[in-house]
Amino acid sequence: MYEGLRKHVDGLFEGAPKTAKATELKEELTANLIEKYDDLIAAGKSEDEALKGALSGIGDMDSLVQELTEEINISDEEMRRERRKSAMFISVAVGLYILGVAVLILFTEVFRVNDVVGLILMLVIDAVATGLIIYNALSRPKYLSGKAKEEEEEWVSADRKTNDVLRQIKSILWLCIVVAYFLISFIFTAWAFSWVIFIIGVAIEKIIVLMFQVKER
Amino acid sequence: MSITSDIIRGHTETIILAQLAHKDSYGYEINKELQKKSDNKYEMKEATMYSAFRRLEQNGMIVSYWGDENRGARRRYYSITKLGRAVLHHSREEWVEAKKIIDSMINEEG
Repeated sequence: MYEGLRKHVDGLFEGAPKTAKATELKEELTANLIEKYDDLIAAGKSEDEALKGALSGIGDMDSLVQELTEEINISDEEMRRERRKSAMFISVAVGLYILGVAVLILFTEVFRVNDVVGLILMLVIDAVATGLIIYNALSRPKYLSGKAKEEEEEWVSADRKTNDVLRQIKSILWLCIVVAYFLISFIFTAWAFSWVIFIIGVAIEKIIVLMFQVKER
Repeated sequence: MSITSDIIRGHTETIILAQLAHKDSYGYEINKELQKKSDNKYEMKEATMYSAFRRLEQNGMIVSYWGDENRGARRRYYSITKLGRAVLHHSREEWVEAKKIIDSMINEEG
């Protein structure tokens, strides 16, 4: 019964951004149109006439839709601020991880205190760092993580299949890196240096992405 | 009918505030009320009304909340704030003043 109305409203909002505000405005407009339509039907109009009557009062929605689009651009500023905050959180967390290792070395090698004390201290520091990262991930606004992902992923293949493969390779790579990290660290007790593996991991990842890029061209 | 709409458009926000001063309302109801009051001489376009709602809400003159109708789509109700009432009062005075001045300038006997 209201199909015609809904279809028309959908058309009006075709160019609108998919924001909560746009959805709300759409719902508000739909509710008002439905009621007007019902009133016209109740007044004895045919369905066609009622539809036309309801739609005739809408006017020019383009500028409103335009406003909705502009609003998103305004929030760009906010997004940049959020991103800076997020970067700071991550930096502090990474710093803490390194500090943890430093503390461990300091306690076991320099002060020659019981190993356990240094280890516990390191784990406490690591816990704080992990907490920061998790807090940062959870408190990040949805739109931010969505948009940031697009930008961080410098290169995305046009082919979805390639992307899937690449994603799989990346996850396997990182799994291997973590395993290698623990293995090397435990076997050679090289905790002080073994974190370098992660930096090597980043390099390997970049190389793999690069290879895919070259192949695509 | 549409000759006057340009003049009226400049007062859209005041007109909406004046309707909400009586009671909370939503788009279609306000429009029906306006048609009745203007003796069917004026109907506010939906788009005009929603832009005004947005501006008024951004400036803290009205607040909105959703009704709990289940038929098809929910209505969005608007409610005037204290600031809105103050602005409405001011706008009414301004209009009276403007009307006087314009009358004195365009009347024939001048």
